[in-house]
Amino acid sequence: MAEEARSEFDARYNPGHEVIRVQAARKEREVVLEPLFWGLFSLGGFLTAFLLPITILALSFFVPLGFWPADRIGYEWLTSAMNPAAPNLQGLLVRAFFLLVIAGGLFHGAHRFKYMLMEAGARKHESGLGVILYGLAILGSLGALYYAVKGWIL
Amino acid sequence: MVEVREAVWRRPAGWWTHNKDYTLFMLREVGGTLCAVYAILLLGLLMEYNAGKAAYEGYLAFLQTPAMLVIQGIILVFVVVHAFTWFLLIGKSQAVMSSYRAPAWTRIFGLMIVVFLGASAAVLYLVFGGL
Repeated sequence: MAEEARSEFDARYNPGHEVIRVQAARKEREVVLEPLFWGLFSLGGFLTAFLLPITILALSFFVPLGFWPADRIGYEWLTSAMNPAAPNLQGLLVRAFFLLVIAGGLFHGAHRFKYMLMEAGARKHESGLGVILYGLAILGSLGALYYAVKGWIL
Repeated sequence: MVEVREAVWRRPAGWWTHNKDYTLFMLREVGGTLCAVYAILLLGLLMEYNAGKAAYEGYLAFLQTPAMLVIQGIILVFVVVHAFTWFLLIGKSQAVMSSYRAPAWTRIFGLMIVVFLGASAAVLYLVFGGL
């Protein structure tokens, strides 16, 4: 066997490549879904970090604190805000906003909760936790998609 | 072939209380999980809206009960911790990720706060119709 490069100044030096080869030699199963769910977790973290704090303040606290009158988040407001015929595509923007915040929050939280449970000792049940938590995130996101397009496409 | 040995760190119980950075990491984990709890509340809002005016207003009244306000207040605190510790992380990770001289983490953190305030103002005006 050719001598391995041991210096970063050698063009053959690639320590990460060695790790991958060792794992392949052990015939461990290929991880396909984990990168996908990690991507959705990452995207969800991005969306929730920027969009969720102001959403919680506006929907949950501005009215009880007396900052807004109750009708600012009342039924007529949401009807108007989600109206697909609203000018400047505002209705579609609000529908997309609810879909992204809900789906992003669900995928981000599901992934975080899965790893919290694994840290707490449920490492042996990783597959089952993934099925349950990501399954719930998928179901909730499909529900958000349904309500986001209802009255517009459906 | 170079022999690769696995070095598994066996964490003792309560490991995250031994170090301020680990504690912040765990608080961000909790904040990330609570993002999903508020997402469920938002999904409930859309479901009740589709059930009609009475259902929607009943759900809003439920969200504004003292117990639910306390729960949402806790969620808000953790969600803000989640966002701000992530902004901190972006600034500090540049020294590891960048091949070039990384900017000071404070500059990146400040930039993220500006983007955060801009995104919050956009949501306030475009979704909720302004202040």
